[in-house]
Amino acid sequence: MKNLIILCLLGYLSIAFADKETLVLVDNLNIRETHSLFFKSLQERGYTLTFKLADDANLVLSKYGEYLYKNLIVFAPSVVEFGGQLDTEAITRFIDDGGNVLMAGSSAAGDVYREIASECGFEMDEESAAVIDHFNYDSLDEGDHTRIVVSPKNLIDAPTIVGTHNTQPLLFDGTGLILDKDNSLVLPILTADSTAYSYNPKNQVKEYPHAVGRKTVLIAALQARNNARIVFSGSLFFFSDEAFNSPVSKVHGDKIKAALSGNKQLSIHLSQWVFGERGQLRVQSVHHQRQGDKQSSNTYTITDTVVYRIEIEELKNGKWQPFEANDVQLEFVRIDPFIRTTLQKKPNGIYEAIFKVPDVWGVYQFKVDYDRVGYTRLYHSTQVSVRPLQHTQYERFIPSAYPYYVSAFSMMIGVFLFSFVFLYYKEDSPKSKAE
Amino acid sequence: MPSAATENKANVPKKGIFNNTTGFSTLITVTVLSLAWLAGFASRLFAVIRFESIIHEFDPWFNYRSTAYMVQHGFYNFLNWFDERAWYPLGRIVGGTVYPGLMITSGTIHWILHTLNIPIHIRDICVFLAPVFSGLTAIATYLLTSELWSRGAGLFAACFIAIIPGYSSRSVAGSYDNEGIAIFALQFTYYLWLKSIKSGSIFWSICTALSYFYMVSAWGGYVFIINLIPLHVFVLLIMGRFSQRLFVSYSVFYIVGLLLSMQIPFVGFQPIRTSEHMAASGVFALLMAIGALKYLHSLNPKGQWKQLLILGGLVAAVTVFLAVVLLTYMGIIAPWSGRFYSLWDTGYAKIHIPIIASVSEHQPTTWSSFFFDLHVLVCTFPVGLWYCIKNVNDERVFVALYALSAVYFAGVMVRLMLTLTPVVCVLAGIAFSILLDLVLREDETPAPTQESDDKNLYDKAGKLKKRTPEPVGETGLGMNVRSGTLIAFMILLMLFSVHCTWATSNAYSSPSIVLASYGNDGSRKILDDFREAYGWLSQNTAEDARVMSWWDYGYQIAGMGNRTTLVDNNTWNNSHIALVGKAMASNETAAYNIMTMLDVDYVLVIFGGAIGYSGDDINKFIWMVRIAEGEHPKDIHEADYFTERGEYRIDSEASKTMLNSLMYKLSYYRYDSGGSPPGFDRTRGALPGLRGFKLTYLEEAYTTEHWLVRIYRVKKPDEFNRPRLPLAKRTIQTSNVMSKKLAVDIGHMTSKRRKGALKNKPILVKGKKVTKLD
Amino acid sequence: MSSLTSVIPKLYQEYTTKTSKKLKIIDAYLLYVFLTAVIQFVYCCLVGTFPFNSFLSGFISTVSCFVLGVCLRLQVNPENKNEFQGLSAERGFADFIFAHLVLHIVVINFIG
Repeated sequence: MKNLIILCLLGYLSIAFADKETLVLVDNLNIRETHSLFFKSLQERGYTLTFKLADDANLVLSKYGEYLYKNLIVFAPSVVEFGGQLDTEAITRFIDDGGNVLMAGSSAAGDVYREIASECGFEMDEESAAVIDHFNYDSLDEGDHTRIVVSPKNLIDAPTIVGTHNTQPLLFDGTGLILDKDNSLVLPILTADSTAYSYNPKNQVKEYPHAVGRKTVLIAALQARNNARIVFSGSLFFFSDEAFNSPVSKVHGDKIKAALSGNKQLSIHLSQWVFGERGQLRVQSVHHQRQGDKQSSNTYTITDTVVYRIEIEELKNGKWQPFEANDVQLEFVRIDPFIRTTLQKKPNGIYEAIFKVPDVWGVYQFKVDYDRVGYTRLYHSTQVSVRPLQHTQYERFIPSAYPYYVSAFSMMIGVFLFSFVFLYYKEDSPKSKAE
Repeated sequence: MPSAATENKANVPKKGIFNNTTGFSTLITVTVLSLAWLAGFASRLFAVIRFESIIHEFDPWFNYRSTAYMVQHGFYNFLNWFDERAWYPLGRIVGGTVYPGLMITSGTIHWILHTLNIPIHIRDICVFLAPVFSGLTAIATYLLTSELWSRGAGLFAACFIAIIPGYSSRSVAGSYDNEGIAIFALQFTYYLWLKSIKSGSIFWSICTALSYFYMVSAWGGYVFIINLIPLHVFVLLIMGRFSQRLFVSYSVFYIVGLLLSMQIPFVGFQPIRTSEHMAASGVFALLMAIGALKYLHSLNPKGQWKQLLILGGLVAAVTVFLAVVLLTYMGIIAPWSGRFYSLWDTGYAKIHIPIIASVSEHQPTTWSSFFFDLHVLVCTFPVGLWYCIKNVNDERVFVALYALSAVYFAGVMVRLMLTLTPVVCVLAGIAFSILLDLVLREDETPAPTQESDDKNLYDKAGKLKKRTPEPVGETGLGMNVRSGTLIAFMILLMLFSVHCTWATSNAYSSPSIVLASYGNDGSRKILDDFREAYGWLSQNTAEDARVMSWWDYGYQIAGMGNRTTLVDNNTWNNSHIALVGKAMASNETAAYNIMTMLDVDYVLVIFGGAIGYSGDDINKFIWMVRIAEGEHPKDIHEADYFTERGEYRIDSEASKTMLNSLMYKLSYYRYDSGGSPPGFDRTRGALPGLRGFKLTYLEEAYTTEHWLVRIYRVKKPDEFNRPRLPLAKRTIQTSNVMSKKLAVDIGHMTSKRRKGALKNKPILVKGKKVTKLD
Repeated sequence: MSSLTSVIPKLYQEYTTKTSKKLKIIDAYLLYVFLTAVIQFVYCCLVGTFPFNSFLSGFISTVSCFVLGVCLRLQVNPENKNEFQGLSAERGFADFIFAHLVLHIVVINFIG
């Protein structure tokens, strides 16, 4: 028995362990030191980090069709070409198979970065371009005004991704990103101020910069349709110990000063989100039945009253716990939704809706599609058929029809009586004639 | 030929037994009828012998499926059957949208046989039902014709109907369709109607109504009966042939038939709600009015009733007509349905309801097909008609009207050739009987020698005594003329039976789900691609997978593949079909949106280019476009699919819309690899205009051996995981995308352990030593 | 019009004298059926056609009874012997009963 428990535990651990396998690609091993705080926070949360140089000839993500890592961190802006079996295609395949990626570049980042960014639906500015803000730069800036101070107000309003207590200004030094506007899956996590633009600081501004003002995205994220998450930062510096520890003091404007930048808190939050520690939802169970019935059924009759229950759980601190929200909606769809209703919250993460099936037969789907920024997309559909009344289910003995019943039966009785009279008379008539 | 042989053989033993007794004539009648039955049955078995005992074509597959369902689940479950596998996601109430007569008939036979402990599979019953019923039709035709003219003519007609191609086209073994039993019901109803009008008995009228009920349960063509009989009554009224018999038979038939016909769920309240049925009630009201006036007249025959009668009749007619018009206007009675309009105006369907026009059966009939289906009878039936009109009585008025209306309808629609066929047989039977009467009349006693070369003598012999007296004023035909005529007619009849057998065997016995092709040496090759594809579907796709195809194949996919379909041959919802048509006609992206909306998992197209099969989807495509345009005129324009010169082509001159349509892409995807000049389309005799393209939203799932059926899987939205930015849409041009890609590719191919490259690499990092070699 | 009004009493007279008692029984029956039909129709106009099948079956059953009654009347009327050759009054009555059997079975099925 004990062994069994241990085995189970081991099994559980190994699963948990597999979830935490992380490959870190760096362009020089120094980064391990310069970004030690960030890595340490990961390790403290149980991630196994495997550091590799980006040009390592033995780089592999998967072996025999199994991925060795669940997460990938790329902190190698200067990579021109990955080593081993790794290339853009391998990374995108990794994403498509559900892997999470955290990438941080810099103004020196090469085309590989750009390729990967485009594969994820956003773009990175040209090589050697950096985000410049002449109004919001840090006092420690070296003159190019590229070490900019970003207010936490510019963060996306999504507590699951960025956390709730972002009050400290953020330091950023790197290139800008541009988002595809048509793309609803891409999230601008941190945008620059309206005074910022992205250009090569060494050159004269000759043409209109690719990214200007608030359109310059500093950190972007993507949650793919398979719930793989990618965070793409234009700045590697953002995650560095230096940024984590340095005080902030803005030179111009409101001259914000802070003893410590908010980078650490945000970075950790971001890493928690990107590696799936936060914002994970799942459907635990779904029940639907005719009201009053005990058994769940797959066919309903029109105008039945249906009870639909869904149990949703959220991953919190490594455990699945009931999910709390009050905006989960249910749709009852046959091509178009016939019914759309907000599910009532019940205890233990159960959401319930009671509604009347429309008076239209067909094949319907119960659809719960809960798609909120920062959460995995929760989608569940169950197909049921709604059938018309059976021939025995129609209303009978309608009061207003009684006269018809009476007449129909009176006809029958009438025929009966008439036959008697008629037959009786038949024998009588010859007599009368005779008379 | 077997039919001809049996028929001839049948006649041989009857020579020489002319004893002029009723017993013999009955024996002859029974023998001839059973032989006609046998001949009809035998000639319909070509399909089973050539191929196998299998259900044919499209509609029969549904009939078979629902029959099997009924046998398995019982009648009441069948009545309430809600088929969620058809018309996804609308579903279909089968019990309420089907004429259940066919299923009930075969279900009853199945039940009887099983009660007698004869275990027979329901499929065999379904396959052989139509041939068996053709025998019953022959008997019904015999009864009808003998009621009309004479028993001899009846025997002729029975023999004709047993083998005539116009009827066997719809009743070969395996063609398990409503028409198979409906023609029997039709003939039988007419027979009973004539019977009842002759006798004026309530009993026969009730029988007519019951038989009409069976017809209503079996086929939508019952509308023909419910219009023809009132027409008959009406014409009789106009001809001043009102009689109390007519009054009794029609009023009883109408009122009971009305009530009975409303028992079929599919028909429902139509008999009092739609214009098609209004003629019958109008005539009923008229008849009642005239009956009442006549009665009053009989009470007081002296008064000035004549004018009043005429006036009353006119007033009644006008009132009825106005009432109908008014009710139609108020919307209580539905106006005539589109299918009905298309009977009057052949162009109507083409403009307004493409879905009706798209069916080849609904095209106007060509002259040649009249000859093909009816052969010599088409020339002889006017003779019979003429005689009927010449010696007119109540019943013959009926058959004349029947013939005229049927000729008209058959001219409008190929499919209605079926209603023409029986009356042609009846009238041709009469014509032949009259003719042989004429030729043989005087020979009967003095010239037994001549009978020996006359194979069809038996009919006349039986009939001559029974003949209703009719003026045969012709005399003095010379011996040579007689024998010459006889021989000529014998040859004609021989040719007829040869033609019938040939037509049945060659033109109508193909199951159309198994194709046969003939090699140069005459060897036969079976192309079984359809069943291959449906088998693949049933074995390799999820149980609830939804398959999108053009509606022609809906029943087959449901019947053989057992998968959910979006549209099928029960074309009750035009907009849903138009949606599928739109998906087929749009480009891939637009089509994908429609397909995800409809939860399509697989798309099935028929492509005949590789084997030269002309009934494929590309040839039907223009109808899809038209139907889609009818519902979505903003998105689909028929003209876009033609070249500038208005040609419909698929080669490099085809229009861009055509080349980018989903149907085109699915048909020609990867087709470059097949065919003798690679990628040559043998059906259209052209090289496809767009080749070597790739599909984004679909992937090929299965293609059958001869490329006939192609099945594609529709990718799910989550397979488009990342919103990739295509090169063209990027604002920032990466400097050397191409070269990089190339480099990556080459690197990838050449070695798996390749060193990467870093920019401005400060420290040299050596690649690790390869310790393991794999 | 005047001729019509004058004709009606004459008609009535004709009727009472000419018609045999047996036919009068049938006529009484017909009148009863006819009145039932009229009442139903008026009721339907007032209440609306909601249980349409019930209305139809009720109404049509009266109409059919009426029609069948008329047919019976025609067949048993000795004046019409020539019209209905080979149909005795007994046969007519048997047919009448048979028709009613069929009719009422259907009506019961349909009335809901």
